[in-house]
Amino acid sequence: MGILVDAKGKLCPIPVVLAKKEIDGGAAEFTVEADNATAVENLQRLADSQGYRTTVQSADGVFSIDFTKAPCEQAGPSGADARDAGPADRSWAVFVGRETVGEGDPELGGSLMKMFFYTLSQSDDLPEAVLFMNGGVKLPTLNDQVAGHLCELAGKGVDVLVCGTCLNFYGIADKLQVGTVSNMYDIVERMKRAGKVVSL
Amino acid sequence: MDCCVIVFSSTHSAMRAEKHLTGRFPVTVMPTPRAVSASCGISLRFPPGDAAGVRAAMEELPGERGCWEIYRLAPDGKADPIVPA
Repeated sequence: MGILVDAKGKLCPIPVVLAKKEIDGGAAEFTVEADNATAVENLQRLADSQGYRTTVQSADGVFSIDFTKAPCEQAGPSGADARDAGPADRSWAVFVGRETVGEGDPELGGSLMKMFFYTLSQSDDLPEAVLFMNGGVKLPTLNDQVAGHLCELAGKGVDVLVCGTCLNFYGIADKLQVGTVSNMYDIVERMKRAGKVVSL
Repeated sequence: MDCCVIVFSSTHSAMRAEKHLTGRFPVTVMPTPRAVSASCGISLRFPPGDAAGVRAAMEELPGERGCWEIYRLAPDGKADPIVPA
């Protein structure tokens, strides 16, 4: 019996977040237990995007999803480096340093930001991470629409990192709706790891 | 996706409508679907069941008359205008 992740009773995006932790930790095989079909679909999608195969069994309303690292998918000797090796690195990250898109009218900029995250949440080829600093931290906290889209993205395996120092500065740390409280080290690390970083 | 969208002839109308409808209906700001041609790239999406309510709310804004239209978006991406009965 290998690693067992109990995601029963956990709401989106927690099942995917827990599974992603095992993947990032280098686990070649593990099992996730969930109790809803949406979690199963999202976990299968996560597995596909990370080079894992899945088999699903269900009994008494509990779904057991076995993750197995697919052997041919790795580019290098260790699975964890597979992302940085290889010429066609299509991984990308989004950095959001403000609440609005562009300069000019703030109301228009706010609408544009909502539309950006809506469009992202509906598309394929998702970024590995979305990083928030300074005014941007107000989005996953105070902006319900953007927080909703971020929840959907997190449910599909996108990491949402929100700068803790900035949350504290604005006094909104307790209002974070989605994402992990992060720091400059981790945020810079994700920027370096991505093939490209798109800054809004 | 099976929903309704309200589209606008200007961004001013779109943002005015967003302020007017938010809190009363579950509207989401989205880019205008490709199947609809409208002057403004900002649209609002909402569940089909709210179409009548959204229409009535928009009619509370006489200054916006003729500046908006409601469409039904089918899962295959086709958009059909909803004409009031």
